[in-house]
Formats: sequence, structure tokens, C-alpha cells
Amino acid sequence: MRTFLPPPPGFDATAYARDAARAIGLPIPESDIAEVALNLERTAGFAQLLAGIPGLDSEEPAPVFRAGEDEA
Amino acid sequence: MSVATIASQVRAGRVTAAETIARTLAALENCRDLNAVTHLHADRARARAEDIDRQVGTGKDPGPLAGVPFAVKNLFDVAGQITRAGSRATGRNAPADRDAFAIRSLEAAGAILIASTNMDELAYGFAGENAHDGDTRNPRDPALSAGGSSSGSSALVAAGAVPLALGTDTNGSVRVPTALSGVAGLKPTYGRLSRSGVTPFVRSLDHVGLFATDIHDLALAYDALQARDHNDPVQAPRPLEPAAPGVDTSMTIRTARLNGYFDAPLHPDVRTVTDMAAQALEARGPITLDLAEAARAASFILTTAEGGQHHLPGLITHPDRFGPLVRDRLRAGALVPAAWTARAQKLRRRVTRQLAALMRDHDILLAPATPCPACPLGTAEWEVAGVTLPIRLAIGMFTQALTLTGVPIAVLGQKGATSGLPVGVQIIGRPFEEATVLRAARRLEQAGFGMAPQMPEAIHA
Repeated sequence: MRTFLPPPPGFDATAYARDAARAIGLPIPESDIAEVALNLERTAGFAQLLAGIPGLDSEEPAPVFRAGEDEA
Repeated sequence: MSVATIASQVRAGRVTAAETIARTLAALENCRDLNAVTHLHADRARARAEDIDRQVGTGKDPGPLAGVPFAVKNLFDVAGQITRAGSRATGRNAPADRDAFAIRSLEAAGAILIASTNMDELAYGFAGENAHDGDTRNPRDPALSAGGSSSGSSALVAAGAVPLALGTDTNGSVRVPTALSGVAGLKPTYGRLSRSGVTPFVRSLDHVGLFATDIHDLALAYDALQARDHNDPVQAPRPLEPAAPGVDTSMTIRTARLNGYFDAPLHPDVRTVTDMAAQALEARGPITLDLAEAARAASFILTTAEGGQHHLPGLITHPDRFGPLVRDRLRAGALVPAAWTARAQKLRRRVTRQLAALMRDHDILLAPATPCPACPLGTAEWEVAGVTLPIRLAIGMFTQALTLTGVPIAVLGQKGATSGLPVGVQIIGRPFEEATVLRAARRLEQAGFGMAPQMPEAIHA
């Protein structure tokens, strides 16, 4: 059992957090950046696990839109 | 007193709903130190009890849950009140204009809402810790976590203060507190019960679920909750499929235990209780869900990303009103790239198919609910079977691995022999086969599983 998985090599969570937050207009004070980056690193580790699963990229995603489904 | 007993006595006129509510209010007062209640709906409950008693007095039947008091996690809308979902970030929302659909369903069957309950902020946590409202205490030992995020609901049922409570389960928020508090809990199939009037956390994973002290009560309440809600686009157009009438039916339940990812790390009590459950249900196997660890990873990604997107406006305009732990998790979630969530959605389809294949030959699968019993409130790291776990996250590692598949899962708490604390087993069924899940859980109950409610002396005094 692995408690935390390593993020992709070279992933700089702190720099990414600063840039991506600016891109979506989310203010993050400098004092909180380290904790946000830690959470992102953890998520990146989980994402890396999925990146290694063969054939996953050609799979149909789970949510399926059906036209007209919500019509009364 | 059980759901079934209260309802039969009130319907027969042997006990009034008013007496039941008075007794319940006293019990809630007695367990104040659990910090499980955020709002007491005393006046509303008394008025409703009078109405129920009037109905009984005039020969009308108020319904199968007549006079049964119940509590709801404070993310269920209650008419006239702000639905806080355990946060200050929601504190300036408009009051709800009507009750959540699930509350209306239970009250249509004669039940009486009496309290809203404490929870992890915005349902983002498994520990029952809350920066605004304080932590929920476990009635089995007040120093311990009751499990979360539906912590107050499970704690009140475990303490015997209410016989029934509602919660929600996104990654295990019904299943984890069921195990750690030692009650009976059900997460029905994704899309089975309406979520109208329930504050969302992760719309693609949120389920309404419930807690009771035994399986009969769970089945009765679950049946009352089954109602078609055309305002909930996620609810599946299923017929009503009552579980209570067949819960004692004797039939073959082909069972297997899940191994691999679900085998470690396990506290000895969890391992023993899972073994006992497998033995009681004459499980074959074990069998392996190869994608379990990946499914847990995908669920983590979707949760943080969707949760972050849902709360992004609040994180921009009033970040100071979020608790610090939740705020930074949600901020990180709002920044998750689409490449990660897209793979998670693809994994969701693949693991759902993989589980369905395993269930072609099995009606029920068994897995531990948590790696260990409850640990002290405030604990960040906890050693289980030689592995140091980030316990706030890892306590949900076995429930989170199954949540993507949306299948119905019951958990039944059982006292562990070495710790003396509750642990739980997940009883996993096929989509929309809640009746089979509850039948298997009832069989475990008949084999000695389950725990009576308990008010700890230190708090009771």
C-alpha cells in the first residue's frame, strides 16, 4: 500500500499553483501557497498513477450526455 | 427505542408522538457534550408530533414511520433556515424555502425532524472535525473521532439519542462514520434517492444515505425515502423496490471477499471482523478488483477538482470564511488540470465495468470499511499494521476505492475484540439491488454482528 504517490518528475507544484491561480482569477496569499502546493502534489501523484494505466486514454469517459433527456 | 417499535406504538396509540419527542429532546440534551447537534428543531418537532397524535386520535394512519424522530446532516435544507453545510462560507446564503426532498419523504411517512447535525466542513473530510462548530465526539469513547463527514448523524444514532439519521456519502461519508461509531448505515445506489435540497459537494459522486441501529430500521427508513423526484436530474427512473418486506427472506447469497488492495494495511480487529463476515456469509473467493487503487486515485482527483470548482466563487470573494484545511484543499482542487480529470472519468467507466464483471457470479462482495478503528480527534498520522498513514485521508481509502462505481453498499459496525471499538465491513451489491445488500447485512446481524447504542458514562453523568 502506497500512502502518497510521487508526482510527475519535474512538476513544480508551487510555480504551477501561482500561475494557474492567476489564470482563473483565484487569489492565493503567499502564506497559503505551500499548503495549496502540497495538496496539488498529492493530487498529481494520484494523476500519475492513472497516467500509467495502459489504454485508458482511448476509453469512453463515464458521463454520457443524452440529447433531450431533460426535456419535460 | 427502534424505528419499528416507536412507529408501531405510536400507530397503535400506546405511546404518543409528543411523548416520543419529549423523550428524544431529553436524550439530545443528555448527549450535548458529543457536539453532534448544530440546530435543534424542537418547536417544529413538537408541533408535528401534535399533528401525528391528532391523526392517530381520529383513526388515521400517519404512516409506517409514525412519530419516529430523525436527525439530518446540516447540509439538508430545512425550511426557513440557512443550510450551512458545516461552514461559515455558506453563512450568508438565503434561508431554504422548503425542506429537502428526503426530509419531506420521511415526514410523509410520519417521521419527525428533530435536529440538524455536525459534519466536516462542506463534507470534505472523514474525521468529523470542524473548525467552526467544533469536533463531533464518538459516543463509544469521547476522545475519538466518530468518523465523517456525517459525524453528528452517526454519533446521535450510536448514542441512542435518535433511532434514525440522514447523511451523505461522496467518498465514504456514511460508510466511514457507520464503522467508527458502530451503527448500521446504507449508501444506496448513485441516483437512487433524490438529492434535491441537499448542498452539493461533488455532484458526480454525492449520495444521500442513512444511519440506524439495526437493519430492519434501516430497511424501513430506506423504503420511505424511495420516491420519484422529477426535479433531480440525477435520480434514476426506477420503480419503488421495497427492501423491508424481504429482509428476512432466506435465499442463497453468493458472496466473495475482495482482496488485494483491500488486504492491507488492516488493524487486527478489522481483519478479524472481515473474516468473520466472510465466514458468516459462506464467502467464496477471495477475488480481486484490480483497479481498486486506481479507482481511489480517480475519486480523489474528481472530488478535489469538482469540489474546488463548486466553491470557486466563494474562494475568490470570501476565502476567510472557509476553515483553513478545507480552503487550501479546495483551492488546490480548483487548479486541477483537465488532463487529470479526463483520465479519472475514463477510469470510472473502466472500473465500473470491472466490478460488474466480478458481480456476474456474486450477489455480494465484502471489504473492510476502514483500515482501523477510530483514532483520537486531531490525529494527523496513525500507525496501522506497521504502516504510518495520513489518517484523515487514509481512513477512507477502502470506501473511496468503491465510490466511483455507484453501487449500493451497507456497513454494519461490530465491536473489535482487541480494541473494544467498532469496526465495519462493506457489504457491496449490484446497482439498484439494495434489497439484496440489506438481506446480506441482516444475515450478518443474525450471526451476531451489530452494536447496541451506547451513551458513555462520562458524558451521560
